[in-house]
Amino acid sequence: MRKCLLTIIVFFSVTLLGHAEPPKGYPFLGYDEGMRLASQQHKKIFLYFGRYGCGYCGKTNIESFSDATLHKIYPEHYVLIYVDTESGHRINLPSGERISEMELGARLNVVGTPLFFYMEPDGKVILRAPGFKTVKDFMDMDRYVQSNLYHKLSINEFLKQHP
Amino acid sequence: MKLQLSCLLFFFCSAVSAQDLRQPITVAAVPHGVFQHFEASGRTMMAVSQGTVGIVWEDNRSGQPQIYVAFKDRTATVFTAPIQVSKNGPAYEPAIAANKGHFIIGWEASDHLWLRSVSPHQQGPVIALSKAAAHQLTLVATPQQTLAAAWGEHDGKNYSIHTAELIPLARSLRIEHRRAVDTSTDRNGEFYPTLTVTELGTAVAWEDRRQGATRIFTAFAPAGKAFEPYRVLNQFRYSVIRKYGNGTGAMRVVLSSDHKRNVMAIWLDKRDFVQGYDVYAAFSHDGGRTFAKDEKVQDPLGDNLPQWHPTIAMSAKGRIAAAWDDSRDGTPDIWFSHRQQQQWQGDDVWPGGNGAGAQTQPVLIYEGETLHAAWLSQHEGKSAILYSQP
Repeated sequence: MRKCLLTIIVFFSVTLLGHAEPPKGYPFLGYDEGMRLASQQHKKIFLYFGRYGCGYCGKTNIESFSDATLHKIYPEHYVLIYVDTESGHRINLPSGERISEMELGARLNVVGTPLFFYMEPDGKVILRAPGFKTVKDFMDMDRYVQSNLYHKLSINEFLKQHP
Repeated sequence: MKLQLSCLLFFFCSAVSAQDLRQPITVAAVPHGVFQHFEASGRTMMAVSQGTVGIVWEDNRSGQPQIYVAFKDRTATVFTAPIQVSKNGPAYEPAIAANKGHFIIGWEASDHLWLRSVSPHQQGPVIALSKAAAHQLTLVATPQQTLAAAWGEHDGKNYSIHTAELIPLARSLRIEHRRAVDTSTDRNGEFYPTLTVTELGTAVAWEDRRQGATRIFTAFAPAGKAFEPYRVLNQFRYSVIRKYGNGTGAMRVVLSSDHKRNVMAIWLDKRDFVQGYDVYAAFSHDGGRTFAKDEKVQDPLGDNLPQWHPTIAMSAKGRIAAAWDDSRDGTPDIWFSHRQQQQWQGDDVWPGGNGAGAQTQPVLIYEGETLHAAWLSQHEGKSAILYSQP
């Protein structure tokens, strides 16, 4: 029995810590499906660039995306899209051009992972947020993006005025 | 007198051609709304044999992605008009190789891989290479009068790397010695293979995900024997937060050799994980069975920004040239370096490999000691495949 429990614990530890994939329990979509849905529903996009085996992606998934509030509001406010920066998976840009997920990373100058983009429904970038983010960071960025004040204010100006 | 004049004229023409070929020649250009792709596994989109250069790419000029090839004579300054090679359905990621004047082109369509013997004047039948769902084909010439292929084929659970020997026939080809490279039981995703064949045997490298991060694996098969167990090629670092993740990644490896015993590998490496991928390489004196310590290829001026699409070529006499693209001058340009006395020289650009727009996706190949280069140029919505002898 103990051996069985240990096996289950080890399995889930490896699953959770070993793979930098989208956080469990969130409705992340592939790029094509997500972009299509965002356009149809006129909903903003949260694009997560991850890497297989990425430590800070795993940290973000476990320490931040486990938060119940984030789990509730991010799927409500955004179409969630996950892209693997090392993948050759083919995706189609709004222009009609077909490239790979890795090429999208090259075009958007993805230097490190995780990297989060908040985008308009048509794919125009609102905010680029590199590296590990806390729950508070994600909540602050959500307030900024949902306020629509990004047309006038930088996120630092926004947070100073709306702490 | 007539002979002297002929000699002079020949010399003059040769000199002009050689000079012209340092400047980029357009292989194929497409208008706004048509997209070219130049992206085979192992970056084998160009082949040179018996004085003929062949370059393959994919574009959607017909309304869906199809495979095209253009040829030119060694000294000519124009390529033939694009020749469509694929037939039905969307076709992707073509590769080309040539030996003794015989060109073979392969591509992916309908989740399988297809091969065709193609010359400037005729095309042979389309032949299936894969037995199951397959992708990421690469093709090379061997020191014998044959060609070799490597690709990813689905084994019911995941993709694993396979190789085969391709025997050129009059207007077609025969596939022999089809085999899996890695028969270990812990396979968990093998991608983007590259191979080279020397007098010592066959070396294959690929991206492997079994260790929880993308690593470069190699395997070597002595001539006429089975593949030996895989080895991990790239060094890697773990995150400072060791409890998360499985270390830095590496991807898009390319092999090249002198076809005798020297092999060079090049790949993108994330070990400096805050500044994007760098270009790393490793040298082998034993046909790719083992590799010496990793070497960083780009110079320090390229260290603080990511590099993309590395490739490498080795000549029969052991000259080594590497190329990639990065944006150190503001827009993506092609950069290249030579390895001399076991040191990578300072990075440089070749004529036409930099400037406005994006110059990316380089391909290199030596024919004798002549280096041939091709790349993708994109500017204001238009694109072209360009070629030169830098």
